[in-house]
Amino acid sequence: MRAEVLLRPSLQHLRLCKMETANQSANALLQSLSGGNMAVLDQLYDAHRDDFLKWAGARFHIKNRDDLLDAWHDTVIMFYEQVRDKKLTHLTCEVKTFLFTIGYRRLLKMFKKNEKTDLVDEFDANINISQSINVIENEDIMEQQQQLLKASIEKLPEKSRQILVLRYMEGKSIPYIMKEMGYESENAVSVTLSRGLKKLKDSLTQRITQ
Amino acid sequence: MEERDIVLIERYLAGELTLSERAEVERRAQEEPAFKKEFTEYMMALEAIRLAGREELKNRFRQRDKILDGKSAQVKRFNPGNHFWKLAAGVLIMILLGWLIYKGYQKPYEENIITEVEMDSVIDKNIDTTGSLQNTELRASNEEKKENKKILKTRNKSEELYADNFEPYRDESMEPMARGDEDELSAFEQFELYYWDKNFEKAVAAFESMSESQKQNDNLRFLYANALMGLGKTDKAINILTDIIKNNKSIYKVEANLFLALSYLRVGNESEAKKHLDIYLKDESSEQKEKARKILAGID
Repeated sequence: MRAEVLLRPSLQHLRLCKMETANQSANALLQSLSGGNMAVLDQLYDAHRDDFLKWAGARFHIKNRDDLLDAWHDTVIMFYEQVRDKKLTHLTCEVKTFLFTIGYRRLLKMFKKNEKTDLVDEFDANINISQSINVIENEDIMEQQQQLLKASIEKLPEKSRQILVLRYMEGKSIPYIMKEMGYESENAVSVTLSRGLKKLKDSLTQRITQ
Repeated sequence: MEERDIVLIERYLAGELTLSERAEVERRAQEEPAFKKEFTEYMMALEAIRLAGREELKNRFRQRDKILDGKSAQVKRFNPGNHFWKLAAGVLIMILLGWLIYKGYQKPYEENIITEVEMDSVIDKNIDTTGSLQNTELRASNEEKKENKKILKTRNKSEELYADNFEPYRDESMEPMARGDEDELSAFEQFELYYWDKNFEKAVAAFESMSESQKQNDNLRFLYANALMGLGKTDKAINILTDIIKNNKSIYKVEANLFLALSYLRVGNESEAKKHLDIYLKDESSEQKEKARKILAGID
């Protein structure tokens, strides 16, 4: 009896320790990704892709592999943007669980959009996310506005587009961009960024007012 | 709008402001009409950049899918538990060993290039010397030489067609903006400049020192493939052009078919060359249809 009592707390303790370790590594991963380490993103992508495809295919009865891959791409992108924008700074569950939840919501939205109503409109009971996680989903921009934005950015010279993405999408610093793109000085980077951004802004404004 | 306000908005977009600075920007965007207008327009520009960034991430993930799918196909194909594949692997190793031994006894490539005239004279000489082809060994050797002669003929014709028609892709919008001391230029600018000046060796070196994200850009890879063709590195060019066509996102995806056809001509693969020329001619947006028709006529 005494041995049994001693065993139970220690199993509980082991489980808690395992969760704590998993969360610590998840938070370390978030920190690394937030610091611009894209290799971490690649590892996450590779590690969970096939499981996601299998799970989502079975859960949503999707046979088309391209649709599943699209959903996985969007899932990882949404996760990355949350981390990059510092909207997601810590996790109380495993990264995989969190990713699958984002994927689940995304697929649910897709089904709703296509008016498929045979799915239950709530989270899967097995995926239980703590309230402490503040997930702000990307708002859908209207299709037409997206086309407008795409057309404007495609008009920019390749180099301008690249440094704008590095700065404002990937959050890279000016010294990093200077080194990566081979600029002579930080000032040259700042000026190029400013000009590119202004050009893009003016082009967009022009298209909208036409 | 003052310059410092623009700088403030730019820093806001880059996430570089403190919490209080952010709050200040957001307050002004609510209360000051002129600031609000500028701020809204810049936020839209940010959204456009994010869309572009998302597209780049998608391309990155598509590349990863290729790698992952390739790996899992390899694992399936080469399942160690499968006796058939063990046997196949053994046969392959034997063939490879045999080829290596054969190559060891081969003369260098250059010495093997025999012109048509030389081969003709060798065949004729043998026929003349023996009077009649009774010696079976000699007959077999002459048959082989005739076959090699046919292959060489095809190869030489294809190479001629390639030499007559290959011109690295160029249009006026590609003329480099940056000129001056080459050491001050970035790898990208150097690539643009050397490519335009047809200095392909330096262009290739500049491409290879660009960042990973730039090297994955299919538009730049198309020009890189052209530079490789200019250096005679056709096999590498074939792989890159095939990939660009498959990815279907480059602005040069149509022209890639023409250059792929030319590359196949260079290596003597007329059937693949014809296939890609046909695809090229069927596309309405092809820029060099006349040239493609001329090449096709040359093959036929």
